[in-house]
Amino acid sequence: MEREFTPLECLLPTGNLTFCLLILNQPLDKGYFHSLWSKAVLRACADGGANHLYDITKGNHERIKEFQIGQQFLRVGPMPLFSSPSPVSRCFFPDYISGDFDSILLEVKEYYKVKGCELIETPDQDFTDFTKCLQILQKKIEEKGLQGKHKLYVNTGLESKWCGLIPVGNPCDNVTTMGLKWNLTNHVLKFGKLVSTSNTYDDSGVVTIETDKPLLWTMGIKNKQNA
Amino acid sequence: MEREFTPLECLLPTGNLTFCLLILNQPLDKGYFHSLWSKAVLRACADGGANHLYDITKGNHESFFPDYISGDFDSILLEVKEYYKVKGCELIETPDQDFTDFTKCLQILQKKIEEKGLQIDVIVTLGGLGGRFDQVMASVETLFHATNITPTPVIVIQECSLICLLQPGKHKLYVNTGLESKWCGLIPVGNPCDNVTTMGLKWNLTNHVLKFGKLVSTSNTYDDSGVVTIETDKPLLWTMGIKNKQNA
Repeated sequence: MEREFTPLECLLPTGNLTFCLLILNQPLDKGYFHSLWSKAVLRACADGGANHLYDITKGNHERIKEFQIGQQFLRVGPMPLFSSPSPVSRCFFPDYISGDFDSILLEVKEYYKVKGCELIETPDQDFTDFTKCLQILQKKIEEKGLQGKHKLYVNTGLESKWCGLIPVGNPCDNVTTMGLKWNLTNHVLKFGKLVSTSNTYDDSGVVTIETDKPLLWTMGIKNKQNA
Repeated sequence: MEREFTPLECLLPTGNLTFCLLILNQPLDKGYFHSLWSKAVLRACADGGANHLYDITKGNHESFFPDYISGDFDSILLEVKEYYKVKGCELIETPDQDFTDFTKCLQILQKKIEEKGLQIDVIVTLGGLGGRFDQVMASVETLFHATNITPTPVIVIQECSLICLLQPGKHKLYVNTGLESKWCGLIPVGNPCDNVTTMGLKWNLTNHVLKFGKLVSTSNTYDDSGVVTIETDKPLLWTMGIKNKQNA
C-alpha cells in the first residue's frame, strides 16, 4: 500500500490539510508560526515549548473571539477543542501542555494554568517530553500507519534544493527511489556504507521512496521573510 | 584492549596534546578558536570553512594561513579563494561527488601526516554539527569512514557539542578537565548496539541494548568520579556538552 503526501503542504497559506501542531522547547520561526497555528485543529506544547509560545504571542495571549455587532465588540471565550479557526479569533492557548515541567517557566505555567489550559504532568524519566506529548496526542486523534511505499509531492514552491535519506538507527537493506537526482534501486543505506545527503530533485515534482525499514527523510525549506 | 582519552583535552590552555585542526563550513566559536589554532601542528579548511577562517581572522589574516584548503569549491567565496591562493596557500580541488568535503579533507590530512612523519593524538574538527540536518548526518557518516582513513581518533566540535564515534571495545573517557558541561549521551546511530555497559554515568547501562525505537541515551550526566567507561559491541556515538567559554 502506497502512502502519498506533500511534506510542506502545511506551510501553504491555503489548503484542506487537517493537522495537529506540537511545539517543542526551541525558538519558533515567525515566518510560519501564525499560519500553522491558525490552521491546526489541535495544538500542544511539550514543557518549555510553552515558554516560546508565550514569547511569540506576547500581547496577544488572550483566548478571545470577537464578534463585531455594529460598533460593539462582543467577547466570548474560552474556545472548545477542535474549533474551526475563524478569521476574527485570536486564540493562542494550547489545547494542552504536557511534560515533566523542568523547563517551563513558573510564570508561564501559572499563566496558562490560571487561564484554564490543560496541564498534564508526565514525570516518567524513561521517555522525553516529546515522546510523552505525542502519546497524549495519539490518544486524542486517530492513528495512521507509516511504512512501505511513499509518494512525496515536493512542488509547493517552498522546497529548497537539498534533501536526504538517513538510515538512523538501523540499516535499510532495500531502498528504491524515483524523483531524486541520485536515485537508488534496491540499494543498501547504512552508516559506514552509504548515506544519502546533499541529494536533490529532478524536475518531476514528485519523489517516491520504497523502504524495508524505518528511514528518515529530511529536506530543506526556503527561507521565508519573517512576518 | 582499552582505549583511554580525554575528549576535551585539546581545549585546555596547557598540555602536551599533538593534534591537527580541520575547519568545516560552519561559524567558528570565538571562545576556543585561537587557542586551538595556536597549538595545532597542521591546519586545514574544507571548502567553505575557509570563509569562516577569513571572517574570524579579519584584520590579521596573515597570521592565520591554513596548510591547505581542499574541497569541490562550491562553497568557498571567490574573493576568499583568491586571497589565500595569492598568498601561497595550497588549494586542492577534490571534485568527487561520492564523498563529502569533510571526508576528502581527512584523506588529504592523513597523507600529509604520513609525509611529515607526525605522531598525532587526535584530529579536531570544527563545525559539522549545525545548519542543514543532512550535512550534520554527513559529518556522522564521515566518522564512520574515518576508521578506514586514519588510525587517529577524530572528534567534531561545534558550539556546545562534541561528538566522536566509539569503535567496538572498551573506552575510558576522562571528563574532569573542568570544561565539561552537565549533559552527555550515547547514540546508536546507524546500527543497534546489542551489548553496552557503562560506568561513571548517572544512568549507567549493564549489557543493555541501545537502539532507536527502543532506547537511546540522551540527557545523561556524570557521577562524581570524573571518569566514564563504555564497553560496546558495535560502533556507538558518544556526545557531550562543552562549557561556554567567555568570548575573547
